[in-house]
Amino acid sequence: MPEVPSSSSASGVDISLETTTEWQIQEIGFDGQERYITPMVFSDHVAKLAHKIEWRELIGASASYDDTNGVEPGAESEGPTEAKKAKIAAATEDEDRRRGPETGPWQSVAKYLHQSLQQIGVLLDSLAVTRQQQYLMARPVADPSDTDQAVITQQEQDSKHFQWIVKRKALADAGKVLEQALEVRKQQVTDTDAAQDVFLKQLRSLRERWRVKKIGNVILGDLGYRIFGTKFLPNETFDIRRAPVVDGLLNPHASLQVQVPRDLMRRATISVSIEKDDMGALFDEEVSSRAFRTADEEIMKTIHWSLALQWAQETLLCRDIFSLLTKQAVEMEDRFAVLKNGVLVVALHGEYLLKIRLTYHPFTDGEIPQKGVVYLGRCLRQMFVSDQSTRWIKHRVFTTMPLTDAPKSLHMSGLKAIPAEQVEQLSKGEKPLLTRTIQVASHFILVKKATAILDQIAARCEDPQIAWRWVRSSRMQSCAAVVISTRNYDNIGRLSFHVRITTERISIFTREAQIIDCARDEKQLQRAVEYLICQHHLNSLSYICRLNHWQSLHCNQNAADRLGNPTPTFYATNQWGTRAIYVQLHLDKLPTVNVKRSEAGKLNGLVNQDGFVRLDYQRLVGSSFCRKIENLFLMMHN
Amino acid sequence: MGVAWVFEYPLGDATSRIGAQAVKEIERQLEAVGAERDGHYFVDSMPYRPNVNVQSGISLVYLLHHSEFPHSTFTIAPDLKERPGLARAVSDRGFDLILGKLGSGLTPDPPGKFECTGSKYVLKDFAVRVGSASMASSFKGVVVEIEYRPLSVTSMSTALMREFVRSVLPVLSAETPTFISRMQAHEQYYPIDTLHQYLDLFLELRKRTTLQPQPQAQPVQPSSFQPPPQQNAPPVQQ
Repeated sequence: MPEVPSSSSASGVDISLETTTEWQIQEIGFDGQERYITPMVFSDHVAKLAHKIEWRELIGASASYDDTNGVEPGAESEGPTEAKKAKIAAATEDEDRRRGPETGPWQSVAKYLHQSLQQIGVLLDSLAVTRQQQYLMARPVADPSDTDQAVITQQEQDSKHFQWIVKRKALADAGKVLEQALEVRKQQVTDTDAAQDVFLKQLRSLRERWRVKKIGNVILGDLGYRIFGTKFLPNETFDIRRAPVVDGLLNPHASLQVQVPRDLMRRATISVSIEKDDMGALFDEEVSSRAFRTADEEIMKTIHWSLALQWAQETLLCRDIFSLLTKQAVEMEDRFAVLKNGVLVVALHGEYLLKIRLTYHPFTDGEIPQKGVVYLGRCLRQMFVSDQSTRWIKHRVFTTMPLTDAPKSLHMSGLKAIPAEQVEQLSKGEKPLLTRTIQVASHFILVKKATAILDQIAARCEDPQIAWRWVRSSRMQSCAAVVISTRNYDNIGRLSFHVRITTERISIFTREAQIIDCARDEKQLQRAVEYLICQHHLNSLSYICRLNHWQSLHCNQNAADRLGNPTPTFYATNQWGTRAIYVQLHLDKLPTVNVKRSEAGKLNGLVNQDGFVRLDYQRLVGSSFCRKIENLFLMMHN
Repeated sequence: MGVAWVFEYPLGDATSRIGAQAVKEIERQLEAVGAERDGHYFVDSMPYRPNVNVQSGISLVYLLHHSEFPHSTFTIAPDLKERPGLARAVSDRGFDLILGKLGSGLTPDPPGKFECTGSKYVLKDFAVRVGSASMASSFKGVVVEIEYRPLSVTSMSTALMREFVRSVLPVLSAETPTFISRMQAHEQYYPIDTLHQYLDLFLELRKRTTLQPQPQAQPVQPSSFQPPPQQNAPPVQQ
């Protein structure tokens, strides 16, 4: 602001306000406009000063001003390559030779400026990388949205050939890069020594079966057996190391060594057995829980990693199963359970006890003796593992909905419109592992009992013949079909029934939908089967009776003898009412056969109980029951 | 699963008796017979209307829920007269969420929402649900659902149901629900049939009350089968 026009008021002194430094006036035009000289900026100062330097004197008379060997500051920031470095070195050498050690007042300044420029370039690059998180950025060559769609399609149609060529070229370029990388890699691989090679091969085969990860310089493996849930728990990981080369000799099978946790450096088995409560010694001797600390760590070096890892995982699994069972035994309310020295004893029923035992063995090769009932041990293990590998959470496919851990039986509940009551029943979920083990064991006991009884009866009873087979057998439910038949009498038909065994009881289901409950008692089962054999005899009697034109008077299936034992009876007479046969069938004895003679036309004689003659069953003619009776019918026919 | 009959309890002269009183009356009758109360129940029905531009392709559907089937959503399109059996579906509750995504095709119609709440009574194998139906919080009528649980064939249970209704709720004994009488002999009864009966009843109640203000001497207008006037308005775009 050049001047402020002073007020023309009468009083006071005129003061003119001006800036302290103002631009120098170059000229004043005829119209009164002032033109100023712009003050010098820094570069002008430098230029002015540079004019004062005798350049010719500094660089020598023969040198030319147009020496482009000098480094451009712009090119520096892009990162010096090897070639450039060499060039710079050559240039500086050249300069040194020409100018000597002291090149003038600006040399150090230029050097520092250049260095700081480099630093700033590096800083900018690093900042850019940290901010954008990418070193390279792919930019589209031509943005298709910029141009009109119609034009583009036209172009595409026109330049299909061109595009093909471009694509092929791009592919060829990419291929070239890959080939180059492959060559470099090949070179690297061939460079590494044989030991490294073997180690890597072994590591690869280890990775096929075990989870492995690398943290820093350490390679860790996971012994955990869970599919879902946390992996690499600290107490379930093992270290992978390269075996040292001893005396230049390399063991090709053991160049990889593993170190499993100390407490897993022992082999474990879990055995399940059924014991009778007879005051015998149920528990093992006490073993110190810190016994594993004495394990020799050197032993790991002699064992192949695949065996060592298998053993360690097995130990982990057995330990986890046992601790889970222990936990559930504590929570269980309706049963009695004792835990002592690695043995868990649970009351089954009656005099039976379920004994689950966790045993440790040394960490050495060899067979471990199988104890207890192998089947029960396998069942326990299988149930535990299948629990671990089941996805309990239901996945929603079409919509995002809250994840539920409802049991599998409820997964289609919506579509089936399952009522609320049933939903409640179904949502109870799986029973605890211990409860299921107890059920399997109970069922196992019952199956053994039933099998023994059925085998015994089938072996003992020749007339009629008894055959039985399993129809269905699962862990908690089994069903056997029993068929009773008489040889040479195919027309009589067979009597067949099912023996169903659950975890609680044995029951017989007959064809007539009659259910005979035998609870857990094998004697009852035996009696029931024998009773059904009697029933078969009764059927054959009535059939033979009809065949020989006799008249059956009664056929009592529910009769009992004086002691109350079931004794089905059969009473028949010939057509003239002159002869009568009375048969009593016993469960555990031979049948009793009585005959009677009465006079023709006197029916009272048949009703009367007196006058029966007992026959000796053994001495009757015939090889089987049916034959004997048939012969008797024929003999007494008339 | 079982066979259920759904009735509307006749209120007689609507001015003299209120719904709540009628409900109490029924409950007293049930308790007198020996039925025990077993919690509450809840049925709702929400109409979903097709948008203007898709009306030719999609028909009006109703989404129903029943507290007896807590995991299910029932979809019924009663207007599809030519194939009435096919226009019904049972699905997971998640179907509600899927329908929410189909906003461009079907939009909910909250003013037409029916709700029925009440209590459940159990008498041996029978379950009786007594509730009051309301549309947009205005009372519409009393609904009684009688379910015989052990059976699932409609025709086999008819005589037994009739006897039960006659002895327990004699007021209802004159009628058999039209839905049940329309079902063929030995036809399997499914839970969605119960919901279908509810829906039929709701539509009936709605139609009746919208017609009530008109003088009864006048013949029924042909437009009475169309939805009420506020439904004819184009759906609000959200």
